Amino acid sequence: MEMILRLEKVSAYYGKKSALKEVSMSVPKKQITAIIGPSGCGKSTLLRCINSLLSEEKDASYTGDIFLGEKNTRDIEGDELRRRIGMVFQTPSPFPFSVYKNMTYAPKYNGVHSKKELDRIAVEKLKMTGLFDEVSAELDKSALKLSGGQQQRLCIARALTVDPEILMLDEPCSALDIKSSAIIEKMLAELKKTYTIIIVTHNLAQAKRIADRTVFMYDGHVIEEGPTDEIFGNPKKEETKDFLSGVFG
Amino acid sequence: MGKKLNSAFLLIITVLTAMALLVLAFVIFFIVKEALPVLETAGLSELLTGSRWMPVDYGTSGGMAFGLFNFIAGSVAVSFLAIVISSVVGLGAAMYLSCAAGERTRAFVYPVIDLLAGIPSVVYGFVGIVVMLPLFLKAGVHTGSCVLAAGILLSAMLLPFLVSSCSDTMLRAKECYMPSAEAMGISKWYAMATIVLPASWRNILFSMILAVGRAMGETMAVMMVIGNANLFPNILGKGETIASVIALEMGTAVVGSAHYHALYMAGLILMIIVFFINMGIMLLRKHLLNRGGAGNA
Ligand SMILES: Nc1ncnc2c1ncn2[C@@H]1O[C@H](COP(=O)(O)OP(=O)(O)O)[C@@H](O)[C@H]1O
Ligand SMILES: [Mg+2]
Repeated sequence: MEMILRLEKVSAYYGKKSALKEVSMSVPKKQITAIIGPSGCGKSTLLRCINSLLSEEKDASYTGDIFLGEKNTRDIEGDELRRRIGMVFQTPSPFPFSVYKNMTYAPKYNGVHSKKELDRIAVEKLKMTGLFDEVSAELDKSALKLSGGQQQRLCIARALTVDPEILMLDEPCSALDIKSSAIIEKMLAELKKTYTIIIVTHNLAQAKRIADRTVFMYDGHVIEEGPTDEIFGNPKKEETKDFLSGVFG
Repeated sequence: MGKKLNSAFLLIITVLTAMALLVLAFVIFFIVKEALPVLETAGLSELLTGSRWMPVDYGTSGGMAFGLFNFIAGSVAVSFLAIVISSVVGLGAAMYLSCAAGERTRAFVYPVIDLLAGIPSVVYGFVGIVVMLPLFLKAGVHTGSCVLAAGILLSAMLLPFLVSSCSDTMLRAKECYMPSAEAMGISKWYAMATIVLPASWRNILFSMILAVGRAMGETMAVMMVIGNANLFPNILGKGETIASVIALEMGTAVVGSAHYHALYMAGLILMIIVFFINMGIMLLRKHLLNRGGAGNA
């Protein structure tokens, strides 16, 4: 199994407060890796280390090494790194433009100007997220008029417009209803043919359904990682067992 | 019990709202009633386009005249200057506060801005006379009093409100859109200019509506530095605004005289102008709502 991302002893700090403690883990290519754990255990912080957004924050920093392929991410320019590792947040946040403009915003910024190419990118990524059939007639409509689930899929499609290698999603379904979540789960299963996916989720059943690999975090530590079946079926650590059986969380 | 309380509450707020509307209607009615009699002495076209203002018959040649044109132009010019200056400076400051400044800077600057908003306008006028007019005098402006001085002073008075409301709006837009933009590798200032600013336009325009009303109506500070001469407003020359002519002359106008009614007419015209400017901004805002908040801004 080829690992596309490797973390070695990554620790993160907000001021003096430590939020990640020597986290080591790896992410297999073109699979779905779920990160689970009680809130406040450092899941979002971990994602922000991976795309280096944490170092843009005041007073926040991280130590340790993260390898994207063979390359240490510290040797990659921040913007470049974030083009290669996309991220979608919990609250759907389409830009206050039309659907089409949301889809062409980043490509334009990156220097794509031919209308044909922009159209191609927009259509291709909208199709990937299953949104194209729903919005093809109204690409000029404001993205804010879409439903919550559609908005979140648009955000995923938008993140894909820069062709990242890895797509990270931070609790992408917690603001959505069950039906919209199901659509997104199905879509992610499709997307993993093309992209490596890391998803933080509160919903254990969701992790169980879609993830190939699961990482359990607790209090800034990675307690256990492995194939999803093993983590859920046969957890080795006490904390994992307690968490999965709902003792805390 | 809860139901009774509910309907009692509803009754109270309905009555209060009705009273507010009633007061407004009464004010408008009163102003219109006191303004209209002037039309027996001077025609509407003289009022709006005439530039001779001789509201009391001193037996001078030409007799009485009620041209408000210079005052109207003065009000519009001073307000326009003030809005332009304060918008440019205010937007810059708001952009800095919302996007470049850290939490700590904001925590310090916001209270200071609120403090500025609380300073009485006569104090602004005083500072204008003591600090600004000598500078204009030195620069060669006769007596120092001029339209530009009034515009600058007024813009300083509008700034606190514009800065705090615009930076609030922009901060909210930034928190909403910036993470996604940054996560795609878009640079911060590019995202500021192309997402946060357009997303904030509607609220910024709304703040401007309030600012226009404030600017057109501001009396004391403007009066203290504009020179109060019935001249067509020239940027470095003296001028006079509707608000200042009313404030200066209402006390001496004989109740019921043409002069008295003419001043009410001036007030009515001021109200109508503010109303139309606000309508204009509102339409612009609606246009942006249909296009920008939605559509492809
Ligand atoms: N911007 C921040 N400043 C200070 N502390 C933070 C910040 N963001 C998160 N934290 C702290 O870091 C810890 C991990 O947070 P987070 O990564 O958001 O957890 P999770 O996503 O698992 O809920 C928490 O204790 C949280 O309070
Ligand atoms: Mg989180």
